[in-house]
Amino acid sequence: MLTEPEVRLVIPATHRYLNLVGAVVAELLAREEGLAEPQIVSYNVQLALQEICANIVDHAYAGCSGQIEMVMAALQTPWRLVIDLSDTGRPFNPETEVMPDLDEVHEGGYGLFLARALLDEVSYRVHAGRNHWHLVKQLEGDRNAA
Amino acid sequence: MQLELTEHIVRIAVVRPLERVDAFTAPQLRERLDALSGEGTKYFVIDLSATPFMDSAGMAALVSLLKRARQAGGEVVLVWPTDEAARRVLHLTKFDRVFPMFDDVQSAVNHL
Repeated sequence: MLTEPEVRLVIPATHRYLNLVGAVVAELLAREEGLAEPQIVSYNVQLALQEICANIVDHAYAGCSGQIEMVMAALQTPWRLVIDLSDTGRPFNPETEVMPDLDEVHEGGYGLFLARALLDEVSYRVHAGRNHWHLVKQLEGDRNAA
Repeated sequence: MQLELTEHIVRIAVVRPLERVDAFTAPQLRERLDALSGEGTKYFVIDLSATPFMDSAGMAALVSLLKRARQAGGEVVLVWPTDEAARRVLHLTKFDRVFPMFDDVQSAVNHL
């Protein structure tokens, strides 16, 4: 659980609302003064987060209605953005995760690859009947320069 | 002098997404691209220079188009996004090796 001031968001688990997730995380990062390459960090986190959420919509809920709960916070030591996602859909089976062969063209399979490549930590567990994704992006820069 | 003149007019569709291409909007893009393919267009320039965001659903739409175009003897080329982060993602996924990439639409059209 997060112990510093946090932002909470609950969205319907449909593609229509996924851009809200990205918009909220972008605004949260915009408040982190002194962040190095802020636009790139923001884009990468938005992309990674939307990929995980799209996977929840497509695979955990798979056409069924549901919600995605998100708790996010910028923590200070070390400086990092932490995002916890949870849902009540079908559990994720890690054995189904396949690293895409990037030398071939594929229509799918890039989502989790991108999330893992763009974030510093992507972990999953089932707890109390809910799926939990824990995402961490280390933040770099000079907080005193702002 | 006797001459036989034959003109070949190659139809090239230049598609420039102006909004986010994500899991919600990618089906609309895919539908438009499928319609163009269905009308017989085989050559495409996808200009990403004004596309603010694209996720894997958007990338899947591009791969689908690429497969369809190449099966028909055509090609799909991309114009680089202006956003550095988006450029890096295309490099990370090696899309810049799968698709011929160009800095502007004219260069992309000339390639086709």
